[in-house]
Amino acid sequence: MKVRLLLREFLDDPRRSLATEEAIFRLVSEGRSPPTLWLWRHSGAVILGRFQVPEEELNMDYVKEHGLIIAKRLTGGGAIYQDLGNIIYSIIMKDSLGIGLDFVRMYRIFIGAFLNSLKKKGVIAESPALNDVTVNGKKVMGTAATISKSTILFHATMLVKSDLRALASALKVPREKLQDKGVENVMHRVTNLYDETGMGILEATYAVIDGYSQQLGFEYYRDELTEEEKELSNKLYNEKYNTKEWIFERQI
Amino acid sequence: MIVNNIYKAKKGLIRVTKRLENGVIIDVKITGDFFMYPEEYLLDLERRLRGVRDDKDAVEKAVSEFFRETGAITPFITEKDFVAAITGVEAHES
Repeated sequence: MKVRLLLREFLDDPRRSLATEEAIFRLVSEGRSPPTLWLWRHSGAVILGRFQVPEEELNMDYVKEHGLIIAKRLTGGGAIYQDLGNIIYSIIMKDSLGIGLDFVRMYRIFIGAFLNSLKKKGVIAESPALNDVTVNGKKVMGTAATISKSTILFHATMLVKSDLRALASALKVPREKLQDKGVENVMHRVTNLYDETGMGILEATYAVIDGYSQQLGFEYYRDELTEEEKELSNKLYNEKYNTKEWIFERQI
Repeated sequence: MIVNNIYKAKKGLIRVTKRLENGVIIDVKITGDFFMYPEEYLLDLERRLRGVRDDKDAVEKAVSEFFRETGAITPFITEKDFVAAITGVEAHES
């Protein structure tokens, strides 16, 4: 399958990134945009899951003091911290794999491709909770997804060389969750890929790109956003992703 | 009376804020790091819970009808998790 490799970044504006992601998702579902693998980052952001509200998930004082921009994504799941040491990638494609609404199978396929890619580079990684990736028992990647109109949006966030102290300070991880994992501090649960394996941003990026070409037969060509995607992204930015109703309330 | 529940499912955290009057749920908001498909259906679940008695049987009935009638999918969490989160039974009160 021919897949557009998109490397456009909106480093200072996560809301723009998320508006763009939904624009691509919608246009792929309408057959107006090509299957896409997009790699993107932000310089300082926190991104909430669809059903979350900032005051429950974030240490707001820290977020304000450090100028982190708050955004909310289309998919469920938990809040993430982002700096330039952290890569997000999105795979947006028609369901050519016959996944239907079998999310378990979807995570196995999409995470499995990345695990295999790491394995080829000599890194043993696992996915104990089905939608995450751990190395040496600590989380390096979280993923989320949605499926609509036979179109898949799978995205993942990977800690490569991120400031874990900042991550632990920005995110309010509920006591209930930590007790369950048997650790006291979020810093004991997450790690950087670089710290565990020596792989940097560029190598991690290639691991992603190679993984999906080897496992899912992606044949890449580099391209930019289409005019239609930019227009829809602008609309979604103004009407949704950059509004306080979307970010601060739980409007869905 | 406002009640806040935080419920940790095996995988996923569900937070429920509910306003009660005379033992009836007047308003409810469900937040957390779970997944529901289609996502918009969460509003439907909340709508169905308004006016329901705040006890296990009544909530169980509403939640069960919601899943049966809408076909909503919640990977990793179950109907029972939602009932526990909403009623606060077996849940940690915050």
